[in-house]
Amino acid sequence: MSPETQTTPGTVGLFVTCLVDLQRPNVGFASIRLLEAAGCKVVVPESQTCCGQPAYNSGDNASAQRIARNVIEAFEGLDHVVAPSGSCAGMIREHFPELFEGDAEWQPRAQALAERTHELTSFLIDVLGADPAQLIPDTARFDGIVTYHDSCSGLRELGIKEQPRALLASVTGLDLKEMDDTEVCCGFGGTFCVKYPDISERMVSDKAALVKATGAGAVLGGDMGCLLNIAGRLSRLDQDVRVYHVAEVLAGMTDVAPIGAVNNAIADNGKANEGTRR
Amino acid sequence: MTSGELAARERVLGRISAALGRERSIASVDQLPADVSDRISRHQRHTLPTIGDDLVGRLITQMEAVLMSVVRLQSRSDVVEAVRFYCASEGIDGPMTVSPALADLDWPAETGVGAASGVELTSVTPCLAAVAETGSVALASHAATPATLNFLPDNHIIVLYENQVVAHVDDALAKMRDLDPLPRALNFVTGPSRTGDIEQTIEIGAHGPRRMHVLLLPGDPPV
Amino acid sequence: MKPESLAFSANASRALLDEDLKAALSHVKTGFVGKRLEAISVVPEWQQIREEAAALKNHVLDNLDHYLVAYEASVQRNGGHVHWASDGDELARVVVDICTQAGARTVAKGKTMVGEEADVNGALEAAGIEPIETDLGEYIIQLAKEPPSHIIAPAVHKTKEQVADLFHEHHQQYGLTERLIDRGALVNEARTVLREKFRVADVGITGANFLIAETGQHVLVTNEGNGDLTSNLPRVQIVVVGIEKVVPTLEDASSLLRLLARSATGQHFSNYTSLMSGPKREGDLDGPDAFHVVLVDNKRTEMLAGDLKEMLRCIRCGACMNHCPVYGSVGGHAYGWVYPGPMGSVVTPAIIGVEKAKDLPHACTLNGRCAEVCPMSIPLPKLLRRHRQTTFERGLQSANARYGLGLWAWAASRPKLYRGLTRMSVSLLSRLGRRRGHFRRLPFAGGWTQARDLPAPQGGSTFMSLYAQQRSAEEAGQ
Repeated sequence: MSPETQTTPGTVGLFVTCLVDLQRPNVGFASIRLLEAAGCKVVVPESQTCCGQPAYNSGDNASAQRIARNVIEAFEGLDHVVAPSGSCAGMIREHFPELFEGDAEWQPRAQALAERTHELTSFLIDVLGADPAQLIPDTARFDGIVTYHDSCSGLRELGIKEQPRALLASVTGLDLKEMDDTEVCCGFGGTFCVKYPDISERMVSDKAALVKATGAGAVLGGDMGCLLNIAGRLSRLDQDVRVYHVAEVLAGMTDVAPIGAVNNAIADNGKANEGTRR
Repeated sequence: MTSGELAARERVLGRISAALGRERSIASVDQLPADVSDRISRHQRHTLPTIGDDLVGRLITQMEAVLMSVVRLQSRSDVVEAVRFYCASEGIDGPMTVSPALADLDWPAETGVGAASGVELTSVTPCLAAVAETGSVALASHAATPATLNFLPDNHIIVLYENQVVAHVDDALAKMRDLDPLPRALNFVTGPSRTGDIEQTIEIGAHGPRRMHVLLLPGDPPV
Repeated sequence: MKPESLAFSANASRALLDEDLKAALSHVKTGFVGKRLEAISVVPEWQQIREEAAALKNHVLDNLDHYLVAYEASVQRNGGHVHWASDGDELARVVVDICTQAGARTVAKGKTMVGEEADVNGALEAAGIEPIETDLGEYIIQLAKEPPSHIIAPAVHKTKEQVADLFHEHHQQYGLTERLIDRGALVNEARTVLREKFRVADVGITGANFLIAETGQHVLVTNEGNGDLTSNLPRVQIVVVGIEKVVPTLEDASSLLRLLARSATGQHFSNYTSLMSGPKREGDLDGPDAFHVVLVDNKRTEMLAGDLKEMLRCIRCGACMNHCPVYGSVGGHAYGWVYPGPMGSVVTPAIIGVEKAKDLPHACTLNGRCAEVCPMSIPLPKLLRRHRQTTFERGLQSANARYGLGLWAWAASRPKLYRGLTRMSVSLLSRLGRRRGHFRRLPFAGGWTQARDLPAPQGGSTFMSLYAQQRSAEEAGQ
């Protein structure tokens, strides 16, 4: 993106996402740290809950609309909406306008919000044109080989592929090694993983094997759904691979235990700690 | 059509026009809307892949990639000897049938002329065109070029002239369009018969020819 | 065939335990996915060709009746007969009638998916006529008495050992008594047996990939050449085809052919791409004496009228299933009818009814890889969501799913209540999961914990409450 078209940072509403809210607050704080480092004023609207995807993807459009209206009302006054999730950002960007098709009041409001909504790494790189070398704090240090799982919604709905990699390239010590089929679904799929646990198991087992085959000590990604799924499988298999959200690594906030591991068990974020997955 | 089928025709056409929000459909081709008949007669081409200027070079590369062999000959009178040489070098020894269009050549006495009967090991046929884009030969059926010769024998030898080489599939189709009457069959053949139906592993010679060999001659075919 | 799509879940779970199937499905990736990518990488115009193709097909669908009438007139000009069938039963009846009138005893068949929709083979057998599948994959599954598990590789679920057993069982009657195991030898054995079948067949039945309104020709694409033998040797030729397959001109067919082979098998062009129309011309030495084409609706007009219209752009290349991780895990039979994979999960409910296939639209992670590779840019995830809406509106989802979802949606649209509920449950789960960092088992989470641990919440409380605490601490400190 050329400097002329770059947006001023302005006020960013953080769409926390329900999974970060419930499962991984650290990702929310990491997102704030990155956005503030990029010069944004960050606000966290209190009335946000969820983007409505579970309802939308189950065919319950009425419920999805009700939740979407809540999101629109909570965020529409802000310059940008940023979510540490390609899936939730994709829901707002791609599906909110569709959800209100033919609704004279809400469709334009959904459309306006959609245009100002971004996934975190895409916002930093594509919208702000941030220079990864300046943005990533010196404290962001992550030693060893990591691999990156491309989450499907972010990849295919929002074109998120190079942005997290460009940012990760500025993290000291980090050596990215791509797995085979990194663009193949991990088997999470929202309600899919509980409706069809057997199929989901096969898919996440395949993914875990691909992660393992890289020899990486950690797998990163941009969506908590996929990460919980992959971490849960690796944990069940007693595999010593740490799982983090990309924002945590970029913000240098890996001083908490990896996803699914014991709290505070890893004091030194550089090395895998024996026994964390026992 | 039986009366039941006539009713089916009306029912299907009626459902289509209803789906498209039209009151009724047309009953016959005479009532075709002008934009539709224009669209049909315009023969508008779509975006074509770029294939460079060396059509013959590209054709040979493509043909070899799909396991067809190509040799260049100087003149039509070399065809019979080239066929004999090919069969000898491949160890093919058995009945051969050639298209009536090639019957004037000096074939061995036992050579058949006509359609394939299923017993011949080898066929020799001319073609309408060859396509540089894909490495295909385009074979148009006709009294002098029966289509079964393209499919039944184990070995298919094709006589091709350089000026028959066209860039794209569309060019070969345009050549067919100019034939009157339209041939019953136009077969684009792009390499020997193959199948991947057992474990997605390619095996040659599923039903049709196991070998395809092209004799490439300069200039134009005889009229 | 009789639909078994309602048993998707059970069939899928069984398929996942089948080691032979797993081995066979691993060939999909090596056989199709990599080759497709390689083939399109040398065509820089690919996206442009793709966009034009979608526009072309949209134009055809908006004028479908007109192009069909034009095609019909062109076929008749070439001396062929055109029949219409509004559903599968009518198709089967028309085909049986033609065969009976021709005094047919055996019929050679090229692969036709429309024929599978209507169970044409069953109808022929009931009329005392023997249908013989000539596509190697179709022949294998005909011997096994199974439906196809892939639209272009019907026997993709079989290992070569299983094929060897089938041939050994069925070919002894022809004096072929040795159990061959080598792939080439198996192909050769089938060739020998099927050659004889071609020789005696009275009628040849094939499908068609495209119909050309301008010339009245149909386009038939195969790699084996079985479609051409089926079309050229028997004295009567029948083509059965869905009405959506018509295109205006030769150039239009050419454009779609550019997408088809590359998307399907990663070939630049299939080995045999044939355009045919009508019976043998005057003086011709070979070819059929009579030519029939049956234009089949079978719910396609319903799709045209509704919000699944875009599905009618499908050219049946199979790329969506080749790239679908669910298909790659469970194979095609689990889907329970003719069409598996993503396109099947859209088409099957549309043809046999959502009630009879209510699982299919849900058995998908909406990962979008199918739409990404679809040469006709069909938004498959969007169309699956449409079906999901229907299953929701008609109350076809399980009571548990509906109740759970409804409760959650009710809470999620009440922020204050939601805040309180989530804070409570997170602090509980955090406490319970503190020791291990994850749960091996948890009430109400059996679907999740069957195969994976559930990571415990990291923060001790929700982000929202931690953030609020932090803010008030900051304010107090100021």
